[in-house]
Amino acid sequence: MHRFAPFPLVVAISLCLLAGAAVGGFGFPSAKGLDVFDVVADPFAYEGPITVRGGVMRADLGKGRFELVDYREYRSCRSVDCAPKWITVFYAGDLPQKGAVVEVVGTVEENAAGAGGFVLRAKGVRIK
Amino acid sequence: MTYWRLIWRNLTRRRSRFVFTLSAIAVGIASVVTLLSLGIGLEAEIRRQAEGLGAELLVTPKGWCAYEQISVLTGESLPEALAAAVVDRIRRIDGLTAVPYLTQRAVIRNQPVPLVGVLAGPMKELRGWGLARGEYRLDGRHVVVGHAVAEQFDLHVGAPLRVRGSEFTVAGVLAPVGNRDDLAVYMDLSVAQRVYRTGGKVSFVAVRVDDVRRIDEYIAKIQSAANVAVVSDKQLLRSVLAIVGSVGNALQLIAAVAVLAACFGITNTMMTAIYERRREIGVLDALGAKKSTIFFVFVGESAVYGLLGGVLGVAAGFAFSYVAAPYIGRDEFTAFLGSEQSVKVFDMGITIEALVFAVLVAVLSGLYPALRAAKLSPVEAIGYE
Amino acid sequence: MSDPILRAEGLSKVYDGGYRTVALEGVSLEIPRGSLTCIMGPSGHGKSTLLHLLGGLDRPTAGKVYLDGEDLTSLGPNRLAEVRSRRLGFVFQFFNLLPVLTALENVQTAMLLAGVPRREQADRSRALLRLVGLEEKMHARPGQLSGGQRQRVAIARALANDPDILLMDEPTGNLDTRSEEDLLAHIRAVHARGKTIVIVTHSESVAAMAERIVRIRDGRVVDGETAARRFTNGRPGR
Repeated sequence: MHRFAPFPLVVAISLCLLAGAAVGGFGFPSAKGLDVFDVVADPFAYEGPITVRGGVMRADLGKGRFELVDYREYRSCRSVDCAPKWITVFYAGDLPQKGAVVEVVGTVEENAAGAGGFVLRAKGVRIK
Repeated sequence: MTYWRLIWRNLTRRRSRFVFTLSAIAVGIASVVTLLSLGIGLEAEIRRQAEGLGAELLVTPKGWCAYEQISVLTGESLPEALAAAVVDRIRRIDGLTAVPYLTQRAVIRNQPVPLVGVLAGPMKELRGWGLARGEYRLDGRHVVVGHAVAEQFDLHVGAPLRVRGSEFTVAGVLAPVGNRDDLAVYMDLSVAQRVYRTGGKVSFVAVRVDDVRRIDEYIAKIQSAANVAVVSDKQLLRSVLAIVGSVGNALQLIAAVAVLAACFGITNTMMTAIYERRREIGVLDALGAKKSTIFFVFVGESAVYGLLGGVLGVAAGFAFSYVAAPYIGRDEFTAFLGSEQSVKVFDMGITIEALVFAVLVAVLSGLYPALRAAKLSPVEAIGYE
Repeated sequence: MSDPILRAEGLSKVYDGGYRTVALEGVSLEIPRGSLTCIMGPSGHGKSTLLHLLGGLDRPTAGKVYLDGEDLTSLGPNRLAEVRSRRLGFVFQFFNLLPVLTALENVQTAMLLAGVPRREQADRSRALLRLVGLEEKMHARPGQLSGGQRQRVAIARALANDPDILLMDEPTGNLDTRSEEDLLAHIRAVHARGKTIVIVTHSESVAAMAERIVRIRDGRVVDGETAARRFTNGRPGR
């Protein structure tokens, strides 16, 4: 009598999941966090450090700032240039390139230099 | 002794073959379940939300694309775009009730929550809302909240709520309605316009007409009164479904191939089994088994493959949907809804459908081998060595 | 011969799969009720074919088989299956039992096919296995039984639905002498209970207990003798 062998089942399902994932597409980088539209609606209601996901619309190397557009909108229209709203991020580290999908950890600060009268002062930027 | 015990013993006599065949079916059904839970679950969700709108017509600014139309259904914040004068002109048209919406976002404990600016009276009438607790009071200091929001953030009647620096009090909690209405905070329209500084503008207007048969007439009237786009709820549903539907193609192909492969797997397994068990079929013949009994035993084996593979497939499918949804469902609707809301982690309808489908497909795949087994002449079967 | 339970008239079987093989030609014989008959003859001369035709497992090219006057050759497949299930019991030389079932379940399967209710199946099957001395091995699978034990399970199974006739094809062909003797004792016991038994065999010791021997050569009956005649002539069984 053969012993029960779960191994082939695991292999078969894993293979299928991989195939499905490949065709279904991991094409667009996955990112987690609050969305730009959510933050823009009521920025000062967020207290302490928050994580915001989005696409980089413009990066201003000299000033250590970049603009972040809504992740979902970017994912659906695949362009960072048509966004109606965005967040200005101040970041002292290496700036991400235009079009990059990022997760920004930072705090909201009142600042007239930013879109909507606030900026997100970033402690960390993860490029996805 | 029962036929089912005989079937089960036969199935499990070669464990590794049993497991492989089962895996093939499980994978096929898992892909179908993934497809259903991502696609059909999504479609059902869209329909539910569209029905929840409670209006036959939707007035939006011209040039809105599916992107924004979807946002109407998902309760996403929308650009404020229709001027107060436009809303007034529409409301003056006879035979219809126009309810303007301003969809925005509030923040509760660092979590974004949809906030909708509405006209208290018409909105309650349009949606048919009831109250779970407190009172239905929308003014400069009071808001009401959907049932799910109240639960999630433990908001009681009288709880304070700060929106863009202004203080409000929760006056009431709506009775649960089962759509996105449960997920929002409701504020008086003019107050919301002031708080969000929209300059008297709204996001869109939902219109309920008195006579559905004259819907085209109403559309024409609204368009002549204001420079706006008017879509019927059915058009809205169609355009959103069209976008969502186009995404499912790759998944459908995978599911079809996987199911087909599983079918061949079952047929092959059963043919091999019959080849190996010719003598036993002969013995059953000698013991007085009718052709139909032998046919039933072999079809039964296929059916059990289908049922067990189906159960495994359903579990794997739902699990896979849950894990992979953010990557696979990359259309606009899912993008906006977010994976948590668009994927059904478990759905009885899908489960039953998938199991019936699995058994049906397995039985169909097992028909030919079972027929071969039943047709085997007893002497040929016994004489085989 | 009075009151034959099984009667064959002019049985012929011709296989025509590319080239013509005549397996049986014009065989007529009668099996008396309650008798123990052996069919003997060289390998490949039509013994098993005759047994299959007598048991309704195969249809003759020509001729008739009557079981208590009912023409088996004219029955439809379902009715024939029913006759096999309720009135006949088979024991074969090899691969007799379903390997995935226990001894008890093998006996029960014959009852299941005859539509016997589950509760009754268990009681009767146990009694039958006790009859063949296998009460200790009821839950053993065929793989865990010796050749002789397997054939005893097969006999218990053949008796499952209390048939009138047992048809056995080389039941001892695969057994050592001791197991053969043991099995023959059980066959004798079954015969003593009034069952008609037809055995195809090469074995002299099986033939020795037969009341009647039918000899087949080249598909024809060459000799049908009773035990009395055999012993009077002082001839060995072959």
